[in-house]
Amino acid sequence: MLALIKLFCIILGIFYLKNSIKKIKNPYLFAIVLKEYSMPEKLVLRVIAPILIVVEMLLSLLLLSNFSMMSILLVGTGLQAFYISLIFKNMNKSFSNVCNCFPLQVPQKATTKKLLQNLFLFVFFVLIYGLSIRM
Amino acid sequence: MWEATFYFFILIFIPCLFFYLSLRVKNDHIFTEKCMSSNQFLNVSLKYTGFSIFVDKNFLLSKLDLFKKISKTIEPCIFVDVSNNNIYRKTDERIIDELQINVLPSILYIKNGVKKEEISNFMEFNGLSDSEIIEHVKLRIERTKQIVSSH
Repeated sequence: MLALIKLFCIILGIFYLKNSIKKIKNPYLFAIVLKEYSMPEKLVLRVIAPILIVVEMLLSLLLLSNFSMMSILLVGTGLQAFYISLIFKNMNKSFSNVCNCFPLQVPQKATTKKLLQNLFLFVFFVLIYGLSIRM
Repeated sequence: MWEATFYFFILIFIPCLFFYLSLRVKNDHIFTEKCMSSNQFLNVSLKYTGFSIFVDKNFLLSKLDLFKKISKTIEPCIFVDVSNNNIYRKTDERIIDELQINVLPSILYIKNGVKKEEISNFMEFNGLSDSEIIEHVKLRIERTKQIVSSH
């Protein structure tokens, strides 16, 4: 069971690493997309966009290293809670969204499907933490 | 031991990454703000002589690194957004017609608002890597400079 949890963590770690590298390659584009989600421009450009990318990178490193399940739970649920609230706040809105480069977390249209996908990841973090402390 | 090394790495790496990203977002924002609208271009075009890149702003954003390198190669040059989907739609269309732009983005040599030379349009660069595109643009800029100076 423990091996299975570690495998899930590695898969999820690779997924978040890939996502964060994509954002690091063009952070301004990510900031522009975030701005469309009715967020204040200055705050997004200066703080929110860089912080979100950094947190995603941190999460991927934590998942790949698998040292502390508590840190994974806190960072993972925190990040997912932010994206869930962002999609929930903009439910059924469409965005011009330059390239639809970040379809999972900031999609071109905030749909229930996208909300559920993010919610699934949120629950997944709670689940792997719960299972790991039972081991 | 490994755990301590890992957390030490995180402690150094994460703040550095944050500062790098903040700086990059700020620089990219300054760069894209330089891209003028077609209306602004009309106001300055009569006095302007030099290279201009006519581009769809969304395309500019998605290929920001490439355009930053190109702008360094052909300094001074101005970027004009003629994306045809903003409030300046009519002016965009007017500029596209007047300068006979067939493909966006296009690099033109403009003299007092009149198109003198098309350096290149990006249709020709399909399938090329960024560095190859920059090499092609450099060659064409040199050629255009020679043509212009000989006139």
